[in-house]
Amino acid sequence: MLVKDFIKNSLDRIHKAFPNSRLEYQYKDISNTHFIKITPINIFSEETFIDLDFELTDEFRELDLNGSLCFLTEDSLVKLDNPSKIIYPKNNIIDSLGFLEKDLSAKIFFGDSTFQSPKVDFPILEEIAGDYRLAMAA
Amino acid sequence: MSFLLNKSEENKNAFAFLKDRKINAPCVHCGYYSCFQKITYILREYFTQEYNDIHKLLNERRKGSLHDEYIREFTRQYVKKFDKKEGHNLGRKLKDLKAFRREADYDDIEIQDDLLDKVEENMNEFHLLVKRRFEL
Repeated sequence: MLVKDFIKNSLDRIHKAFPNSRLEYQYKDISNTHFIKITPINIFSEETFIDLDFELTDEFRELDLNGSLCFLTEDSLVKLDNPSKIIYPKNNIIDSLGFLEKDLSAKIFFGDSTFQSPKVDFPILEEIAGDYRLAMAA
Repeated sequence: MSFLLNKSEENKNAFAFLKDRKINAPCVHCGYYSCFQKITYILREYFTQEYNDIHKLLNERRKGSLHDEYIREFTRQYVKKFDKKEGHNLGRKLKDLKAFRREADYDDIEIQDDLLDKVEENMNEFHLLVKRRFEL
């Protein structure tokens, strides 16, 4: 298995277990380390995450992949300045905007109250956009 | 006192000495090594078989990180003998500190005071827990 496959697989597994987490990945040459940043921090105290961390660390070692694997969170010393992968929380409206903006016209968010999806027909987007309008109104 | 434990203590003292004089980057170096030398001592003294296995494995593979292996084994034993959450938390902070030490030593970055405070906090937490659990 290549390291990129391992990372992809790891991100998928973490996000599947914690769909409301935000994940960022970056490799840093200076420390030869693959960093996965997971937020929020409270996930680190969950039994499921602790087990997953040990599993992934052991798999990384067994596969004899190059470099080190390190999980970070909000209070970590190492900061990620240029993550090559970001996975957004499933329920986070603001973070979802990056995704929504690609598929919906600006009119939906900043124009009148009519919701139209010019490119996609995806009911959940309507729900999120509605929530967003409420948040803006508040 | 063993020479390794003494070196660990010296690095801890060097951390305080350098921090007082705002010599930040070498502080991180000393902070990390004060922890790593104590981990090395613990593995050699209390988990000799595992310590020897690490060296055998690294000799066979001819690659891999000694530091990663020591931290992993220390964390594994801590979790097994004492407390899972505490051990996991300690392990993640040690891995973070290990990577940050390399950035402090080799990267073109300034080590800000707030991050140094965090290094100190993590280093002190490590020494406190080791004192409590291993009486060292």
